[in-house]
Amino acid sequence: MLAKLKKRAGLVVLGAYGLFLLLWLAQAVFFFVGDHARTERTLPLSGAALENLVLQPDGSYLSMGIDPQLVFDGLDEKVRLVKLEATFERAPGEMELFYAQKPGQGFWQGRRVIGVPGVDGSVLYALPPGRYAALRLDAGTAGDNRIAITAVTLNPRLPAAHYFVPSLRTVGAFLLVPALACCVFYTIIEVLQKLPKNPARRAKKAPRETE
Amino acid sequence: MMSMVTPFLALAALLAVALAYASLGVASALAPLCAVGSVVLWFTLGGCCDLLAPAGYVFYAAAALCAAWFIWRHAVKKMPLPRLGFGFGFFVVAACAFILLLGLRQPMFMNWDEFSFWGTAAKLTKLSGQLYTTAPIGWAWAATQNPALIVFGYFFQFFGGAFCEWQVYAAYDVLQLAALAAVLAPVERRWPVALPLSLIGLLAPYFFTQRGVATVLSPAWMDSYADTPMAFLFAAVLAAYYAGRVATPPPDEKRPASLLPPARPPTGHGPQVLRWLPVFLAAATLTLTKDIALVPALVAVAVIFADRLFAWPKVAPRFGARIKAAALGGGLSLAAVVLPFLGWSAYLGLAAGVDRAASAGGVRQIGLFQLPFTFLAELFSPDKSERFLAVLGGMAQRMASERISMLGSPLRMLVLIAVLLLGAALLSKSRVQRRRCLWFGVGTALGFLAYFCIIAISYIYIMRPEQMFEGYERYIYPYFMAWFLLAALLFGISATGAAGRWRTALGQGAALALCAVVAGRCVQLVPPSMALLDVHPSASADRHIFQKQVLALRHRLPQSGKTFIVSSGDSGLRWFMYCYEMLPWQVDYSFGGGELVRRTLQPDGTTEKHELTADEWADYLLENACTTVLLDEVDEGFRQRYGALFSDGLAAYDEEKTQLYGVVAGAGDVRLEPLWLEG
Repeated sequence: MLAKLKKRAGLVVLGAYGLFLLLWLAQAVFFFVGDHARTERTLPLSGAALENLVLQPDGSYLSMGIDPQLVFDGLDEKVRLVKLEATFERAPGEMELFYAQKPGQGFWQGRRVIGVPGVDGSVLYALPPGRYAALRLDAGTAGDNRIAITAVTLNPRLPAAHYFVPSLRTVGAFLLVPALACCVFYTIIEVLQKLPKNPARRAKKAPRETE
Repeated sequence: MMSMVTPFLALAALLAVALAYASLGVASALAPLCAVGSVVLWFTLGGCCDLLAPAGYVFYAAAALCAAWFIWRHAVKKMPLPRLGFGFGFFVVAACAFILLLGLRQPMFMNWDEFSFWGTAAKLTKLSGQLYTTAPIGWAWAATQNPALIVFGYFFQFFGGAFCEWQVYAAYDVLQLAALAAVLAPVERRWPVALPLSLIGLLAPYFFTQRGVATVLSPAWMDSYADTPMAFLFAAVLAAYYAGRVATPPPDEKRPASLLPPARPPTGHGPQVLRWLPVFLAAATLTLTKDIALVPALVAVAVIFADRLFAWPKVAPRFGARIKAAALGGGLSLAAVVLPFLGWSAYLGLAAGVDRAASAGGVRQIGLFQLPFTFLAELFSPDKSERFLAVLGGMAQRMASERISMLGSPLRMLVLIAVLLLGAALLSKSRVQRRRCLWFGVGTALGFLAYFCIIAISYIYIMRPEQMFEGYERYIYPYFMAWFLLAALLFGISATGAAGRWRTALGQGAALALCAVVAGRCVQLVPPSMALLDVHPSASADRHIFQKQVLALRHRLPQSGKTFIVSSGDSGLRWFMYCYEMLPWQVDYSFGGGELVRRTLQPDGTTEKHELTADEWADYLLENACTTVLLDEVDEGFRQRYGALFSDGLAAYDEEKTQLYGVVAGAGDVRLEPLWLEG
């Protein structure tokens, strides 16, 4: 078996890339179907509690510190994606979304996701699929920043391309992960080949193991 | 998308030259580094002769000839193609990916020194077609920094019309990738080791510059500073040396055939000089990267010398003959370091009137070559100055407390490097490799001591007291980064040449584990939106606002003259940003901007301050052909002292807005008339 793998190293590498592609396609289909089965809803901004943010007369928000937050409480729905459509006067810094799955549960570092910016400037947050009671949107880390928020949408309907056109991250992972998996695979093979091949030695060892 | 053509054209020229080198017999993984070194040396020479643009045309023409020669040699003459290994492939794929990614994201300069020197020098060189040392800038430009990166950036956007910031990043990334490909050269035949090592190299800039969770954009791979390129090039010099001299274990007939191809030296088929060429070119490029790069370059030479003398027996069997061989190899490598350094110093003396031997700059004005002796004299003297003790004590303390990588303090990194070298020595059955690890460890440890002392020297004798320990991590991490990469490389070399399958598996497994640790820490601390991969479009919003403001301002400027900038309380960043954005228009920021204080260095080393009167400032404006004054930020003290010079008495001044005044010389007096108000 190992000798066959030795001869067909190219096939193994190809197989690793094929497997990665298949797994990626499977998860894309899974998320596409799952996301389209959920209900899309736009959260009313008036219902958000503001921390370190001040609503301006023109409807935009001004961040007053380095931790501006919008807290949406009293939710009870299944969410996987959250989309923030906003423009920032200054570089916003890190965009995070904290979540709580039970009412009254606090927000902490272990329950947060980092936003992925889209080409149109919107930010998409992918939560672990589940039911959520509250969300805290940290609109960057820049103080004195004017933020114009257009909408915060739960479970936005994203085009199929979002799922089936690979992102730069996917391309990077596609280049590296199967190749690294092959490295691990061949390291294991090196170890396996070291194991005793002589049936007589195996037979001697076997009774000792059964004792 | 058109802006992507220029860097890809430069990459194509670089690849044509690299292929020509490979065709001549240079190891393919080292060929991109040779091409980069050729570009740097050629353009530096061209710049020093004030023939930068002609040098560019000649180089691109030579690259086209190289491509034609390569095709003729291998397609027409049917000579065997050079073997292009993992390192070369890695360089091509990674360079294309980085250029594409940077072209899509278009990051902009964000950091202090990019405006104070690195970015401004790159822009000045591109716009003027002259080396930044002599190009007109309009103020006392401290243009003594070494030119390697700047001329390489110029080469990358040679055919472009306007200056483009992301192309500077692309150029420097390609230079670093060429160095990284060279680091992979000794292990490229065994990809289960080469692949993890390449990933470690790609993540190393994050690993050493992002010490906590990233909440702002990480500058790794989007940085025009010379620190990371210096680290990569330092590693590349020694890797290029090791690549031609990989120690293999003694043949063991009982050893079963390995599943993977045996590790073989990746040297080409050319003469001996082609084994040394990448070392010389990399050493010369390293020396020309940054002032302090002279130290790692000399350390690399010392390690090569020790390796040839004590570790590599194939040079000559007798010790006496080995001394000669070591002196020859080490001497030539030393020449590759010293000649560019002296050449650049001589050029600075001629072109900029800077005598580096007479003064290394800073508060004490001590000569460059005198500095180490002054330091040593004080070190062994019983009467050490308070500052001397404070600097050395503070730096020693920081070895254990300061974070210089994602793993923590320099001491922790030292332990990791020692473990890697010990592992490399134990894994290999080759005595040569074991001796090499030993001498590498000894050489680089002593080298670190020298590097440490040089940083201490700059804190004691060159920088101002208030600048003590400023940028400590930035100065110290490049050495550790190169050290770490080289230790990992030596470990990889041992793993590829390890005798016995257990050792091979252990070596490969350990290389993968190290890669997993580095990758794991990077994933943990750097979210993709804070890295090049997913840069938020608004990451450069501040710069866009500032650019817009300066563009509006430039339309109001007269045809000739200079603009004097007043920015009270500015740390210097606003001034440097103005200077950068307004190029080629010249600006003036004498007397500290808003302070308007003339400082004179006294013989006892203290500084005397003299506050300029309104008349003195007015005279200065006239004498220095300042036609406009830009008020960026003005405090109450400025208003009271100089308000009388302004025709409106600064009555309309709004601290939220930038204002431009024209300098009008009247009969015996100077008036400042309002020209433009922001918004």
